[in-house]
Parts: sequence; structure tokens; C-alpha cells
Amino acid sequence: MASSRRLYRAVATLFAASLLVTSCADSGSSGSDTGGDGAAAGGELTVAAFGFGESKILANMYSLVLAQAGYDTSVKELTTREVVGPALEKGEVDVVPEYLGTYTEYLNLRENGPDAEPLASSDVESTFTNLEELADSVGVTVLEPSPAQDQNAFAVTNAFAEQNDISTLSELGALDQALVLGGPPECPKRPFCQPGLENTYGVTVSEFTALDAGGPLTKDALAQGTIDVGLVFSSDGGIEALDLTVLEDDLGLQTAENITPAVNNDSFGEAIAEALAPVSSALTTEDLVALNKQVDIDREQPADVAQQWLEDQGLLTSS
Amino acid sequence: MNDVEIMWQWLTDPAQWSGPNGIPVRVAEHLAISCTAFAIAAAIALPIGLVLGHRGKGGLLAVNVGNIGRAVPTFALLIIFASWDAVGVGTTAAILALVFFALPPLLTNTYTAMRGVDADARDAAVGMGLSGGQVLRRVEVPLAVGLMAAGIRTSFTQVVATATLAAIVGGGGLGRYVVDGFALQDPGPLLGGAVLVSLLTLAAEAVLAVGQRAVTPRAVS
Repeated sequence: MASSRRLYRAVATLFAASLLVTSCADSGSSGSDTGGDGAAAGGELTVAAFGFGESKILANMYSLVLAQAGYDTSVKELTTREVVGPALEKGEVDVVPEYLGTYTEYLNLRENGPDAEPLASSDVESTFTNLEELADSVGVTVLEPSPAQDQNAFAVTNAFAEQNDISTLSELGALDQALVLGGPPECPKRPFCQPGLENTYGVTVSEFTALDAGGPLTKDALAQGTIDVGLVFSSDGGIEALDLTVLEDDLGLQTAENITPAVNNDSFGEAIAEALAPVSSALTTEDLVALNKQVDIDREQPADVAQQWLEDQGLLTSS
Repeated sequence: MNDVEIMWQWLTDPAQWSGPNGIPVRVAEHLAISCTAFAIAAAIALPIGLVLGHRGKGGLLAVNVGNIGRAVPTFALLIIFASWDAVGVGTTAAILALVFFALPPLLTNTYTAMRGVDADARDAAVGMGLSGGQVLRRVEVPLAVGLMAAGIRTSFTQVVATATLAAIVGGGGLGRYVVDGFALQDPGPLLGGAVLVSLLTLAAEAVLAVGQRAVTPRAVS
């Protein structure tokens, strides 16, 4: 009796172990077959999202319309541009909903050195012309930007704005007060983040707290009073509800940040451009704010929100 | 230059060894977070483990509650505490999350160590007329201390390694290098920070291993 139980246990252990091994092997193989030859319509395409809600919505929109165009698509949720950029160039991901100005400067600094003249400005056309050239040199095709924009913005609490009677960043700088700034960990190195705030507006940053890119931690920290100024997104759907005020960028520090699809050259095909163009042209900044609110405040799924919007716009034949 | 060379250059750059973002400051912060969290956890878990082990009752419940604590992801607790206005982002949220992380091995080991004390020794002590408190202090704790020290060593070492998470919610410590290095895709601080955390964890492990040997009575070990 005892020996048969031991045998049973050994068999069960072996079975469990083999399950574990095969499941690991499975996930390994499915993880490695991303990228590759999506040149002809019908190939596999991976759409990458940055690590925040809006990017996940946009990535899902791209994924859905590309699937409708006959591609086998998936969405990969990544983090920052420093992760997404190289992945796009290597073809580990194929399509990214990029931001015009930030992507231009990211490539500019990498291609032309840390002291390069800025190639992004508040002008959409000239920035896009510069971006096309830069992107081409790293093997990426950028498509016509959408009118929808999402700029970096700096927010304070309503109480702080009222108390100091400020509504613009110039007025914040004129306060001549040492402030605690909160934002993503890369902010102290980004020209449009901490250095821009200090050099363009003369804001004195006494301390920087590394949190997230316009996410819940930054907004919580503002509300908690842990930080005085926080980096948020201008298209954020939840700013008003949290009693936060976005200070006006009155000296035009921020560049044009229109949503711009970026595609790896090896995966690029006209069918991709044709599928994404109607999405870009239909999307507005007001749409972005409303869609972001649905995800960040109402806790809906980015994929559902993306699908609903596409159906409302008549860009997706509902199945 | 490959990533390891970049890391080495980062680690040996004198600029890394001074200032508010310097390695000595970050090591001190890391140890402060770890020690505070561990001290709070020990103040909770050790008395409970000792009393329950001494009584021999309610222990199963305590161990199981401790194990549920093990199943809750520390990362999730961290984010919950950081978003909670009463705590806020920063080091405090990290310390609280780590307290919950440190509790289970302390509680389980202390209870198990106490239950592992030879029943004959306990009976003999009671037979000699020792009170409950005397049995605990003079017989049970000296016999259990070796295993308890093993729990302390496990718990503290894990806390030092995991305190790296503090940086995710704006706290300090060596995780700062890992999180910032990842955001900037800079292998210098990313790998350098990881190496420093590993070295600090190994150092804590070594110190506590010596401590554990020192407090374990020769007859027990």
C-alpha cells in the first residue's frame, strides 16, 4: 500500500514537472516569433505601447485597424521611449504611436550628439520634415501626424495656484521659490522636462522626486503635497477631477506633440499607411481627453475604449 | 564599450561616490529603509511567535496568516500604500510594504523554533517548579534561539534585496540607480545599482551568518 502510494506520488510529480517544462517551452517560442517580414499585407505586426493609458488606447486602435486590413496583430505594452525606440529600430516591435516633438528630439540627440540644435519646435510641418529624415536614418518610417496632440505639461494643485495667484509657468518662475518637482525618472535629463523648466522659466527646483510619467503616482503626490509641481499630460482626462491646475506654457517650451505613427522600415507596407491614415485624421485632442478619462478615471479597458471609438467613427466594421 | 565596461566605469567614477545621489548616501538610505522595516516586523513577529510557541496554541493560525502575507505581492502593497493619502509616495510606503514582507519568515521560524524545543526539557523545567515565564526565558528561548536566528537572517536578507522597490514610488536607496538607469536605458547605473544591491545583500547575509553562529548554543548546533 505504502509503495503504491509512493509510486503514485512519483508519477504525479513527473507529470507536474513535464507540464511546467512544456508550458515554459511554449511561452519561449511564442515570445521569439515577433517582428520579421510584415512587408506584404497579412504578415504579423506587433504594435508597442508606452507605459501609460493613452498609448495603450492608441496602440489598440492601430492594432484593430491593422487587423481589419488583414494583418495578424498583437499589442505589446512596454515602458519608456528609451525601451520602445530601440525595439522599433531592431524590429522587435513593428508599429508605435509616437509623439512628434519628443520623438524628433530623442532621435536628434542620439544621431547628432547631446549638444545638437533642437529640430523640434511648436511648428508641426517643419518638425515633421525633420523627423522624417531622422527616422529614415535609423530605419523607421513616420506617417502623417494626427491633429490630436498630447504635450508635456506642468501641474500644481488648485490651492497652490490660487494661493500664489499664478496661471502660467512664467509666473511660477517669478515666484522665486524653491520647489519640489515630480515626474518620470528620466525627467532631469530631458530638455523639455526639468532642464526646460529651469532654463526657460527660471523655476528653482530644490529636489526632484522620481515617480511616473503623468501617472497616478505623480498626481497622488501632488494631491498629497509631497511634490509642488508635477509633470502631467495635457490630454489627461483626470486633471480637473483631482483639483489640479495645468500651468500655461506661455513661452512655448513644449514642442508640437501630435500623435505620429512610426513603423519599422522592414515591416512597412503601403497597406499599413492606408490603414492608419483615417485613424490619424479622425482623432482630435478632445477625443484623446475623453478617451483617457474612460481609461484612467472610469477604469475601462484600453482595448474596449479603442474599439468603441473606432466603431463610432465608422472606421471599424463591428463584428 | 560593452555594458559591463560601462558599468565598471560608472562604479569607479569618483563623481558617483559623493553628493546627494552618491553611492554612500544611497547605501545609507537603503540600510535605513531595510533596518526600519525589519525592526518593526521583528517587534511584531518575535513576541507573537514566542508566546504562541510557548503556549502551543493558535500557532497554526498564526503561521497560516503569515503565509497569506507571503502570497500578497510586495509590489502591490507598495503601490497601494503609495496611493493612500495617509502614507503617500516615498520611503514610508516602502517601509510599510517591507514590514509585511519581513513578517512571515520571522513569525514562522520563531513559532517552529519554539515548538521544536524538546518536550522532555520543558517537562523537566516545569517539574523543577519553574514558572511559565521562567520556562520561556531559561529553557525554551536558549534552545530555540538558533532556529530563530535563521529566520532573522532569512528575513533581513530578503528585505535588503527587496528594498530596491522603494525607488519605484519615489523613495531612495540603491533602487534609485536601477529604476533611473532603466528609464534612461543607461547600463551604468542600471547594472551598477544591481551589483551594489547584490553586494549589500551578501554582506548582510555574511554578518548575520556570523551572528547566527555566535548565538547558537554549542550543544544545539
